[in-house]
Amino acid sequence: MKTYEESIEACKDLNELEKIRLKIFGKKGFFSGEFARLKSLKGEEKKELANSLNSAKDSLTNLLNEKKEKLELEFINSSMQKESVDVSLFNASTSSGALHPVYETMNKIIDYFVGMGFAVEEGPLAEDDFHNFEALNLPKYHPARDMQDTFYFDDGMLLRTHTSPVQVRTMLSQKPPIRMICPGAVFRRDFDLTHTPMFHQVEGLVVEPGNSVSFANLKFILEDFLKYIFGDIKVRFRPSFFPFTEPSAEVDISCIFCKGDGCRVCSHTGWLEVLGCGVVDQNVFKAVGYSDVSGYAFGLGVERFAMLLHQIPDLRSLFEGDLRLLEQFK
Amino acid sequence: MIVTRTWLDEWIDLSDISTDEICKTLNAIGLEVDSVKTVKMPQKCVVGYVKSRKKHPDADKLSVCEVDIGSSIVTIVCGAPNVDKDQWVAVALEGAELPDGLKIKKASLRGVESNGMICSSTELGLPKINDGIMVLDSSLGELKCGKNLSELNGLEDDFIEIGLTPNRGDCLSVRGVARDLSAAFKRPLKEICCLKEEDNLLGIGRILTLHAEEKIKSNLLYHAFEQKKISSSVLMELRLAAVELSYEGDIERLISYATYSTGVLLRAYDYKCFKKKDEKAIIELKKDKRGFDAVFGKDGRASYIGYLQEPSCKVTKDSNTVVIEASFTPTKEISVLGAKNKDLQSDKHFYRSSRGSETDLALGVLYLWKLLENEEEVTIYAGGQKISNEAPPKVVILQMSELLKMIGQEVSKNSVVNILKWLSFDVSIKGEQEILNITVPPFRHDIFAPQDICEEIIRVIGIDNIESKPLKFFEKSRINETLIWHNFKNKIRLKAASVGFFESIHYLFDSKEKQDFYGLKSIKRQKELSNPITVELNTLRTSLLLHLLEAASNNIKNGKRSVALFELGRVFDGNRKETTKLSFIFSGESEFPSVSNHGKPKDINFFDFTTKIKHVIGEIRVESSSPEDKLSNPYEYASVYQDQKKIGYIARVHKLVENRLDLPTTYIAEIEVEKLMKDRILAKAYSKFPTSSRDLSFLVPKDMAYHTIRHALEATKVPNLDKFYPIDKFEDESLGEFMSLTMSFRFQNSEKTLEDSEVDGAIELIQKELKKALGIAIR
Repeated sequence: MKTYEESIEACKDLNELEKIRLKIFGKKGFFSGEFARLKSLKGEEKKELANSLNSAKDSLTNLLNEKKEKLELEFINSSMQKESVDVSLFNASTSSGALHPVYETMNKIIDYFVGMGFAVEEGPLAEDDFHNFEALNLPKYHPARDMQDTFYFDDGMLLRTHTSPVQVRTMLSQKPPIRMICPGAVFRRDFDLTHTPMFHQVEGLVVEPGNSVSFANLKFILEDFLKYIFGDIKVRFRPSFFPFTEPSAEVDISCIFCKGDGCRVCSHTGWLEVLGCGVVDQNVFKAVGYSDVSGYAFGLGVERFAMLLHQIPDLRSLFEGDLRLLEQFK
Repeated sequence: MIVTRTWLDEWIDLSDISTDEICKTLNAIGLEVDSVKTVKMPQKCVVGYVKSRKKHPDADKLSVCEVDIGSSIVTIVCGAPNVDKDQWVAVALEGAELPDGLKIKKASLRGVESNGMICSSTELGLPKINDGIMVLDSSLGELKCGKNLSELNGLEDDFIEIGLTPNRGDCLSVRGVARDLSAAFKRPLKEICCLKEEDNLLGIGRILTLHAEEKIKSNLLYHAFEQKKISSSVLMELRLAAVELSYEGDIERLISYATYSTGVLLRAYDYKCFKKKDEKAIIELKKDKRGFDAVFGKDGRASYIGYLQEPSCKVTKDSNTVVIEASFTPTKEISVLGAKNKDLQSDKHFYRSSRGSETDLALGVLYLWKLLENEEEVTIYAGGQKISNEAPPKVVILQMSELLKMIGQEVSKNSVVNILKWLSFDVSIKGEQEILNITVPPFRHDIFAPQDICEEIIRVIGIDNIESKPLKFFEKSRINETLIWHNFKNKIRLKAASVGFFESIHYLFDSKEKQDFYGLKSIKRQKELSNPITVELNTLRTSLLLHLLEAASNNIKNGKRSVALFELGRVFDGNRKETTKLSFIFSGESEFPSVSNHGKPKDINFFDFTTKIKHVIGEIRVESSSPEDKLSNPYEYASVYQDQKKIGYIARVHKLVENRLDLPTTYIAEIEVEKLMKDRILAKAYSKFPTSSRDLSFLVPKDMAYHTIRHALEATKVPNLDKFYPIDKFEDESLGEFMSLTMSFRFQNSEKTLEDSEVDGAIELIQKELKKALGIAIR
């Protein structure tokens, strides 16, 4: 008994363990012999031996199983160790693909407004004068047309200079109440350090029957939106002018780089201009055949937001497909 | 629009308010401050008087001047061509440090000792007024030798640049800005008043008559004066230089200055332009052929009112009698004609006249007379001649309740009335007390409706003082097809990035020449862009690939060995119809060098590239076909199908193009995104019994495309054949004109586990059919 226990104890190999098992439990093994002896015994003696053999059998079985489990684990472990991989050899700089910061910023903006119950609307890039200008209180001679250098086509159409024509199309095809944003590319004939001939806007429009929409409502949503995008900032409204809104305002946030102390990015003013907005001019409603309604509208440049959020210094770099920039957004 | 503190001071007393505060206020009332520049006179810079000037003995271009600087007379060598005896000048003394960093020291210039420097305006940090030194005059106050320059009037100043919105023509003058500030600070504008009356003045009627057609829309006022000489004013020159106004001669200088200061459009004519010999001068005012209000003199048109003036009628220093015209033309009149006659928009008057010049014509003339008041050689004719076409004042009726709704906050009637009065509106309260009758001042061309009045109120009370309030509205679903489409595109973009492509955004524009060169479609001639911004971007893109190729090429030039880009965006067809495409480019090594590829990754190939595309857009089938463009390699070109629809193509880039753009092995794909939108997928019942598979190698002619075999097999009804696909291709000299193609066949039945004999039977059928259809057999 003792010897068997010791040999199981000492065993270092699953094959050897199997041999030991056969020696103990095999047909010609120890227990076969011992149990055979029972036949010749009787009474108490037989009972005693049977008991002692059974308990010895149980204890050796347990011992064998434990040992087997242990050796199996050792075997697995050592085989895994042999196949071990130096994970630090993983090349972290491998390419992995990324989404563009402009579209991702645009999606962040869209997410906010969709969450606030706005519909998303789209429209054509090649527009006509009516939808892009005329209906937006920008008649042909209006001096504000100077503000937007327009790309024209030979057939009199144009590339939209803002996403506002989508608002006009939506108002013409739907009835109030309207609650929409129109994200998309817009085009102006301007190409220098801070202007590209194409950029992206998200514009919003809310129209309700009667006179229920006020400037205070506009202020509320824009302040909330800007805090959602930029975090803990101050928001300032400055009166301004857009032909399609009256009153109009430009919206500044306290500079996110210097916290308002003044730095190069904010031209030492402590403020960054990020939005234009206003109460929709009644002439715009007139142009789309609405009466007795009120509403607000706002618009922003997506590239401006993306550049501020990600501290991208050069606007033009956003349109060059340069991996040195794009790879940073993995 | 630039104003300066000292110039504003002519119109409003803001002496107790800091420039910072003024700028804050300007921003708050909607006159956005773009920049502020402060000019301070450097220390040790004083007024000097040139007592004598001699030519430098050894240098042609230098003068040796004896300059009285109060405490002493010093010798200064000066290189400016305009320095002369008896001039008052600005002298930087030894020890002065000029704004550009120059430190003034005693120096010997070609052997003559110089004790300081006579300064030009720019050397003192002032705007450039000429090519030589700045000659001082009494416009800067009393001149005394040795007086510090900082004590002179108007040299030290703050220049505030305002980005005016196009509706605020009334602020295109110093007085206009002052007028808005007067409302914000609630303090009055200064009046100009009280010219010295002289009894023996000749009336203007003695020399001038107006003849005007009724169709003339402008308001006009004519005056005249005689002059022999107008004295200089360096202050005026400096201010006009600061606001970048150019002019010719002293009279034009005065006119430009008075216009910029008051906003009244002023113009000077040489009297001779109207005067026929022995007759009284006649100014004829009539419509020109193009519909402009025009001024005619004895030799035809002298000017368009509010626009161009004929050079022959302009004043010169020899113009003894000068006719002054103050005009106002309704902005609409100007803008409508301006829009039709773009050539006139470059005219310097157009900007002001189209945005609305000042309507108080008499004020402009009075201001000009004030400027001439102390001129000894100027005689002003008494009275003026005018053409009045004043429109009746606009009246806006505003209900207080309407205002409350627009702003969303109560503003008391008293403060509304008060604000409007300071803004020069006339307000009367109608019977019910809650309705205001508001008369708009004539210079506010931008105010028509209650909304406009609302804007005036909130810009003065400050938008930041309005409390934000959430809008209450009724629930309504806003989920529409556009949102679904937007989300779908986002899903594709995300997948493309996950497969390793970088998203790229490019301009909607492209080069027509490149499109032609690469055999891509272009926009029809009659639908083409009229005014492209550059030659490289002179048309609209019909494919996303040209920009992607260029970007890939640039990235390779920047040292990248592998470039994977995609763009999802709109393109146009020949009729300029818009569609959305998804394009990919993969160039160079298929993966990054790493331990797993022993640092030698293989270049991308057709199969790996196509697998990536499949991972983005889902199940696809490719069929070899021929490219329509010259961009693609015709030997590796496939049409892509999804659900039986052709949705685009995948190709290797033509080797000529790869070479031309220095690209390594490069693959492209262009997919029509609209066609990827799928209907709801319905799950089918699937077999729960095991599949059996068999691999077979066939000996096939080298030039036989796999799709021939596929089509033949698809045409045969092989029982239980679930799918089949090629898994290897082997070519060897021993096989001659043939190659070995190994295919895998998978069998499954939905009812039962297949017996070996059933699978064997199917394999036999396959062999038989391929032998029959294509004459190929297993190896």
